[in-house]
Amino acid sequence: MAEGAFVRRDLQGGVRVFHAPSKKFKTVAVRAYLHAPLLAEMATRTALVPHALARGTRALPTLGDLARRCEELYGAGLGAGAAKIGEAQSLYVAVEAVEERFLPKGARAVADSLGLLRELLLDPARGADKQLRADVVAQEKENLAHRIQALINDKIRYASMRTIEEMCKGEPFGLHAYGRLEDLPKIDAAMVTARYEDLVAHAPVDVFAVGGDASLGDEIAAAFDLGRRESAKLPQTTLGQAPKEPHRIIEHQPVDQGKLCIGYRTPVRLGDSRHGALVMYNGILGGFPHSKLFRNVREKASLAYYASSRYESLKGIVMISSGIEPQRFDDALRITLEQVSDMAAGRISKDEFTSTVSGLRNRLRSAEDSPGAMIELAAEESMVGAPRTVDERLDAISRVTDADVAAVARDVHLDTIYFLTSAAEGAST
Amino acid sequence: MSASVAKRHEPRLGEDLFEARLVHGMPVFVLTRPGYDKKYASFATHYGSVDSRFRRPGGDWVTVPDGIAHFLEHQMFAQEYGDAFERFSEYGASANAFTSYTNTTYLFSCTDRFTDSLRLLLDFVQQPYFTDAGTNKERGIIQQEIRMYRDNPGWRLSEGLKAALFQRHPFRLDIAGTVESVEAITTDLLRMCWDTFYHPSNMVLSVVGDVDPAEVVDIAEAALAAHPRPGRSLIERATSDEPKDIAEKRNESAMAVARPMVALGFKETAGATDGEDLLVREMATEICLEALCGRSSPLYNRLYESGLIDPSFSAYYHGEKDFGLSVLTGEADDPDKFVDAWMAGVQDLVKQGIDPAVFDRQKRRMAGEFASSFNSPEALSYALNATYFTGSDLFSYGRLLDGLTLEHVNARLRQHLDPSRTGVSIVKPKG
Repeated sequence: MAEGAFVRRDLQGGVRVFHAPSKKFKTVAVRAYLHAPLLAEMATRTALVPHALARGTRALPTLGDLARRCEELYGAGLGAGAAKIGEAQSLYVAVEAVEERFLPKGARAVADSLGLLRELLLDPARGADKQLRADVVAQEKENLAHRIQALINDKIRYASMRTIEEMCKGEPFGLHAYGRLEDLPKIDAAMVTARYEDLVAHAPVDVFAVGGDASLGDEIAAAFDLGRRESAKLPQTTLGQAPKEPHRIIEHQPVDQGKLCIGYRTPVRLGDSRHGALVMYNGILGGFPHSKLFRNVREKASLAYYASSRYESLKGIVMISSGIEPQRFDDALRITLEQVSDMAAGRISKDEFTSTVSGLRNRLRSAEDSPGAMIELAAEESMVGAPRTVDERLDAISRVTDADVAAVARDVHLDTIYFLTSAAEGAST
Repeated sequence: MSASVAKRHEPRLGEDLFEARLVHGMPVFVLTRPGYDKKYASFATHYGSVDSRFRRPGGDWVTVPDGIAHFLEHQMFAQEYGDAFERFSEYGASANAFTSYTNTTYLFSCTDRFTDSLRLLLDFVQQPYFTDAGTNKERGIIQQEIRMYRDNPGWRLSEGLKAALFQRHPFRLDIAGTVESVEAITTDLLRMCWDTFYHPSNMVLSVVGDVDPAEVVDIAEAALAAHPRPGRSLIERATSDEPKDIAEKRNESAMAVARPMVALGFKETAGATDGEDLLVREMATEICLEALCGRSSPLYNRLYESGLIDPSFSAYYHGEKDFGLSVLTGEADDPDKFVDAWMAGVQDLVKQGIDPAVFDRQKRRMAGEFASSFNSPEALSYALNATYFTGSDLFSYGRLLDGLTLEHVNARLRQHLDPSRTGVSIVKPKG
């Protein structure tokens, strides 16, 4: 097995362990996901679970206790949260610890950190009523409300989140991994506990680990043997359709710079035979500094400080985002749409094509040098099958021809144009 | 003739650092990373936004417009053949650059065609192509960038804090300058600043990756030889006459945010220092802040449980040779209560001193985090440049951490967390 390739172990009850042994890192990184369908009525309480868990275990019942333990373990990094992977809402707990060969003699870090991670997931602090502590849940509700409210602070992310929300209204993908503010008042500790117990009993579990030698995979498998027989099935991420007439949304806020986001739908997704062609499409359009958007919107027309695109490959969405002067909306939109029509017309230069192959190669190969990036790529891929190696992914890209890209380009359909702009439209800033 | 390459070994982490000195004393550092595909190179000049008044070797004192170092960073990518940024992209490399208060760094990372990209990096930074048309075009892009920052509440908060703490030091100004100050930047001024600061005697190259150190040194040597520069004396930089007193207790602004954001700052008043002293100062301050408000501290836990702080809370120290500050920041419904609670905590901690068990635990954590930092070629390359410019050495970190004493940290605590040298920045929600 090549250095850095994930070795898969299937445990009973829908638990999969993916371990990439490696000698080149200083740390061992482990991340366990519990996947749930992203559903409006459940999303908020699911989002609360990891934050309640991260408040303490039975043995280490406070934040301070956990933090002290991590310091003793030479700065082990412990984390928990909820992520959106396609239309799954995936609760995760994670730890990264320094391998003992880089620590003073007799130091212990990796095995104890793994034990701590298991306790964090499976043995949380509980109140006298055996529920997750009511005071903890009440406070994490408050904190989650703040997190949701603070989404407005980062305008770039806010604009792209709002575009997805508008574009995918009524689809699970339109929900945020944090859930909905309006659900919070109704949720109590008993509901969060029930949600937690249901997830541990039934959710499909994927554990990813990078670092250490092959035997670490067995230790991880032992730590995440949940002693259960079966697990729920995760529904496939649904495919949406672009409307006949694109949605146009303009939102006003007191901002200096406008944010223009344009969402497209495509039926081509991860696992599809044309996926590689769409990865190339996105790269040529807006994935890199040599891409059409950067060169033509930012560099040639000086219209934007940033202009790029990204591909939500599980859902089949291509999203363009740029930061522009509010008064120059019409020009920016026109030039951006021209880039997309050029793609559909097959106007792709040889340089754009070969530079994109090189850029993707660099990005994927570089990801193999970061435990976090390896885990994120593998987590996404494992939603539709076994994670491919980087070589397999590169191979799929290298087989794509310009005709393939032009063909998928005709399967990319305009859905939503969203513009976040200054309070008074057209006014100077 | 090849420069000789010296190798140093760090036994605890199993790391090898190679170093050579080229013409005008410019160092090249190579930290080899066996098994890594990614190669990361950065070429940096000791020139940042605070260097707005200086004396050119053999010339007169000059004052330049704010934001010029950052403007120059943008302008360097414009080459006669087009955009160097795109050229890297064509090579399959990912390039970037950033300007800090004290340095400007040009960098790329790649897995293939490393030597092509390395030559490109060394060439374009040493060979500017300034035109008035280019300057004017870039001005528009930079003004967009400044507008983008202005919409970022975190940026506004930290700008407000610097304005509260510092009266005169150019650190108080934004790195990019203002929409107005960049209007005064001309092609001639850019050329003059480039000529002053982009001289090998003021620069460093560092490479992290599975590369051959001798080959890197050869390429760098040839690239410097292709752009010969006269030898010269050092640049004199204006020393700041920043007083110890703060400028204002409180700086407030309003933006489209959900909740108030607050930053409480402690001004560095320990005087200018560099080298290992600066590194030790950073370590000692980090321990002070962890003891005060780290996640394992009693006060953090009490305030978290009371709801006065939440996971948005963080604290850090930023120290350079002649300026610095510690910051405690987060969202808070009641910024005044936030400030009062931490100031009371400071008073208690200064009175009691740091618990020896806390001190030991923090040293342990820092040793582990230092080891972890070797996972990141970006962090390593940045640390190599930063330690070189401040006159210390990355590999001395472990030794200095081992030698750090509780007495030293407690003395730093009493000196640095001084209630009379604090300021507060607040960003309030605007309708």
